[in-house]
Amino acid sequence: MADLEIRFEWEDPGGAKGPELCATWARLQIVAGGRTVTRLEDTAAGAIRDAVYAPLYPLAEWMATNWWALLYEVPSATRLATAGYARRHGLAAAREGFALPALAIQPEGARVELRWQPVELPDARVPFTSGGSVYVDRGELWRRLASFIEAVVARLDQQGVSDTLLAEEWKAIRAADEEEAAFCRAASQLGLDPYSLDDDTASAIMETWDGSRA
Amino acid sequence: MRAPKRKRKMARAIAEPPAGTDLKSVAQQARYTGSPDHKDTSSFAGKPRPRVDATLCDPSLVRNQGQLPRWLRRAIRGGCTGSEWQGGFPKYVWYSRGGTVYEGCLINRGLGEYKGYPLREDERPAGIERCHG
Repeated sequence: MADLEIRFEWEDPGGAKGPELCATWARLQIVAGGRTVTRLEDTAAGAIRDAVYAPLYPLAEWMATNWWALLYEVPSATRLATAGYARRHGLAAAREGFALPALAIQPEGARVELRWQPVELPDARVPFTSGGSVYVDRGELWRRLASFIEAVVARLDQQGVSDTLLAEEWKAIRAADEEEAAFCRAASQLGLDPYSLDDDTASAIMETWDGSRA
Repeated sequence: MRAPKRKRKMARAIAEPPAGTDLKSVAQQARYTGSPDHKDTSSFAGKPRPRVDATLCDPSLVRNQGQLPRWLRRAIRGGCTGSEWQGGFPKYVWYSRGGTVYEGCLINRGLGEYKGYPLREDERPAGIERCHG
């Protein structure tokens, strides 16, 4: 299994707008299996570099709000064809006007595929040049994503930015006991978001679970 | 197994606003300020300060100062808003124009300030076809 590293250093946001964005401006480098996912061509500088400069808040919020899917939702032909799957598993959904690589995080049981490809984003001047695919252990992914989210939540706290969706979501994930986590895993395996289910669907999941154990 | 008590809808899905919300009033208060990080020409967002890792706004949109605030207000009035609301404003709003879908993102919940950017087809929220044209 490969390693995943999410390296970052906080940067001066300059005149950026928005408290969450200003508080979490950083240099971000993602390395999977020893290969740099964030390698790009800086067309303004005429150079290749290994990191992007962007606010980390949108990325951390995307990771937290798709937490269970990123760890447990396996792809299927039907799901892969939907925009919803791409939004849950593709880093592109966290761009919010900034450059992030085309990295997809796709669980396959106890291992998770990280697949990325070169991409030239419309209206951006930093084409990503790296492509590849590696498998990481789900536990390793859990630890790396959790560590990243924790760091962004702590940074927001230090900078006096409170009441964010990220902090609220992460608190709920951390507070889930084994019974609740089992439900969240089951819902995600079905391609459903555990926090936005109606009561009937939630009951059906629990009844199916109980039935399978009887 | 137990379902979580926490309930919320996915932020990037078009959803009904919170009960009692007056969308016209919210639309009036919302401001499209944009960001100089995404501009390479002078604009209502101030002196350009394009960051190389930020996408650049279409100059034809930037030149027409009134257009983007109009789109923002129209999107909110039309209920093309996501489920996540902060400080009385929707975190995400969407506007479809000429085959392109734009996402407005709340960047200052205290002031109701937004920036916006175009979405790729696979980034569009479900139900966007109901919004504008």
